[in-house]
Amino acid sequence: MPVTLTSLDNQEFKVDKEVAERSILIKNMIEDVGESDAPIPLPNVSAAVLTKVIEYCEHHRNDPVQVQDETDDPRKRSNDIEEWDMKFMQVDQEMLFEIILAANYLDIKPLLDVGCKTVANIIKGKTPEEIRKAFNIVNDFTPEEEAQIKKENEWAEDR
Amino acid sequence: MPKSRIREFCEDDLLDYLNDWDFNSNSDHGVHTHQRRKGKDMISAATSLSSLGRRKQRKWRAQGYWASSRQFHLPPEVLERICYFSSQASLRLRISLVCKQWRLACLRYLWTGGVWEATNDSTVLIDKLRSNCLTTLSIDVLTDFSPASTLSPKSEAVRQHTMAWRAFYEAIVTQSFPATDESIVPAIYGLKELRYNAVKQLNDDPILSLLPHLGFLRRLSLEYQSNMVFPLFDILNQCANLKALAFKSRTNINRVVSSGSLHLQHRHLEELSISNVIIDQSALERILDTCPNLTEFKAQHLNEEHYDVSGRISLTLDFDSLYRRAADKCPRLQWIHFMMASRAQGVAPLHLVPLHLPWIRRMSLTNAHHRGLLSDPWTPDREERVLFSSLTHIEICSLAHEKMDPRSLDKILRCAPSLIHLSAGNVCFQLTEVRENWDPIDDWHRWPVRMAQKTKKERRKEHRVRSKQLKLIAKGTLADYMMAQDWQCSHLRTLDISVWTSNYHPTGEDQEFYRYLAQRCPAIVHLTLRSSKLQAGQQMPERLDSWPYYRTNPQDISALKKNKVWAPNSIPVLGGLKHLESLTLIVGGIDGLILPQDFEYLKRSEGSVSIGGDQGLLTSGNQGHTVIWPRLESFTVEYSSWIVTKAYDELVLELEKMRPGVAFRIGPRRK
Repeated sequence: MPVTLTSLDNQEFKVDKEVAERSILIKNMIEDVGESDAPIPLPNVSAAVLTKVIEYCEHHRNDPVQVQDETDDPRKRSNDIEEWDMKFMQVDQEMLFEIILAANYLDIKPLLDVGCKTVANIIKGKTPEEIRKAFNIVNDFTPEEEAQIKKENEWAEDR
Repeated sequence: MPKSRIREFCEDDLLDYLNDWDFNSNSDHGVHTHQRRKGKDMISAATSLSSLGRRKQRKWRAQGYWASSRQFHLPPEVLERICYFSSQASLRLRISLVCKQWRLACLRYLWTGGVWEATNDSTVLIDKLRSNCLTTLSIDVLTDFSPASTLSPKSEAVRQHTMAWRAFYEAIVTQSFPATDESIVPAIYGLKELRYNAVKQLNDDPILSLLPHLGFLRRLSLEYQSNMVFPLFDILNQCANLKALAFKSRTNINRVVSSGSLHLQHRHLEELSISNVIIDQSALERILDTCPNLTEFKAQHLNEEHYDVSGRISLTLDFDSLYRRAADKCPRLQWIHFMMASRAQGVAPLHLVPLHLPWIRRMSLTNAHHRGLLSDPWTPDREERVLFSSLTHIEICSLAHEKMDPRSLDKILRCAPSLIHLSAGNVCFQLTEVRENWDPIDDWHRWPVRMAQKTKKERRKEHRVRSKQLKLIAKGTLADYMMAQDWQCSHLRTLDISVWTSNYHPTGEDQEFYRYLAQRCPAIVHLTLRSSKLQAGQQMPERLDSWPYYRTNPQDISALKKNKVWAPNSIPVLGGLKHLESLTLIVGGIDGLILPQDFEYLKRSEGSVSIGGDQGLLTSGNQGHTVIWPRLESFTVEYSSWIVTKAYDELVLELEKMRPGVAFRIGPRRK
């Protein structure tokens, strides 16, 4: 049975129930409401982002439910992105953040993780200033605060 | 609410939000000591996301708190997740310095979600401790909140917290760690993960007396050197919220004691790992009985004999009943692994785990008697195919003195078509010894089709004639066998083989086997070959045509023998692995030399001969080679440290020039 999702800008998307239920939020909503033809409003997600999210869910529709696999090595963690996902995440910075926010809102853990891994990979090897530039973040530290933090973390540098 | 309004609202509130962070509500136990709900309800709801009901979460999310604007604000739980995927260096040198919001997420991850590592070696500890003190104090200063205090003035809270830390700190410096003074407890009370490594010998380590105070502890890892008795059940009873417990002993006379009341159920415990201890059947059974939600249970290096006042005591474990019990009591088990120390005699047969726990996808079997595990090294029977068909992870290692026949590896691959990860130890390519114990007449039914069609008399006669000349021959029929068995293990992504080293000289058998693997498992991404030797060692063996993986026709073999071709480096035959991203070779043995020409195959040249194609053994001709492993990212060769290292630096530079984008490392073995 297809489910209708309505985006922020009132565009309607018809997707299979199985695909929509990759999102825990939608799954819970469907469980709460029961079988109904009424469209599900997603007021936080724009049509462009929702298209991307649905694309992801379609591709991963048959994936088994993930067992939390917490490895000790964080570097290994962030390198472990499937090829398709990597290509999927090759979007501009704004879209990347929108996808992460949407995945967080819709509660799609694997997508959120892929997004976070992508961000962690972007951060890797950048200076704080470059990170701010990349993600359009304003530096709200005073120079004293910044110096203080640097001093605190000095010991991490030679490890 | 119009969207533009939402944005204004968000940005204003984020500033308040930074000042009003409520750290303690992060705990996922739903325990809140101090809820400071100054300002909007919505904002504090944001911080205590996990502790709220779904309906409320939805409501809060539906209000569009994080509707995007030009400047992106990621919610704290997302930032924390990003921290989780970043390295320590990234966290401390990059993320903390971006902006206040990111710094908070980073601190919160480091402190609450993160790890606190401790050891009782004061030199290592002080640094870690200092950083943790600073982390907690920074949190306090930034948030005006201290878990130690109910006092409202900020300075007072910080002061008290500092004092609490100092007591702890001094106790460690003066070796009286941990201080029995309860004043230290508030400082570490919110701790979620503790890794404790006892470097010095202590007979009665006081860390154990501290554990009952750590009510939030979720993961505990203890490593000991002292000959103490490990009170496993007491710890489980004291730390009721424990999710993961690991205990490792560096001496093998630690005993696990099963004391404590019997009726307690440890419902939160999901991962348990004990290593290098003496434990008896009843204690293992009791663990299974009392921890119904176990997903991982590893009991490794179990010592089956020890000495007591009464003399030698040997323990035997009944694996069959243990697995039965596990299936009965712990339905969520995903990984169960019992491993005996090397002297073990009683070992569970390979099929026990899939037989009793059919939902398990991951199996480890180490220090096992290999012959008993796979009675027939050749053809998988139907029952085995069914049992192994759904396994995705296998780790198998035979006893050190009992080599593993590569055919067994082959058999495992054929039994388990869904395998993703396989690691195998003590694989021996010097098969004469293995074959001597294997009578092809008695085991005739294991041989390929055509041989089996002959009458038993014929076979016996044939065998008598041949056995005088060569130990084992299966001429002609093997090619048929190869053709008939057209299978692939197409999901295998990680393969880790460690080769049995002594008297191992590459003769071409290993090369043939690797070629065979490359054909059968084309999807390998990570490949590790331990104790492999790069350098061509010996002349081609006489009996190469008896090797089951050999595909070249008999004329070629005779030509090879006539020309006295030496076994070349066996790595190029893996060139056909199109998906390979990392290759690690650990060169073993004293004579594990590396020469620059061993890496010729990595070079790019115009006249192209495809390595790994069907060029037989003669891959290193005069023509150039094509690039192999198009997706290679890392190439590592490690060797025993005594070999001179200087020459390899230049080699690495040369290789890096040839294959930019690949991280090369040729150097001594990392510890």
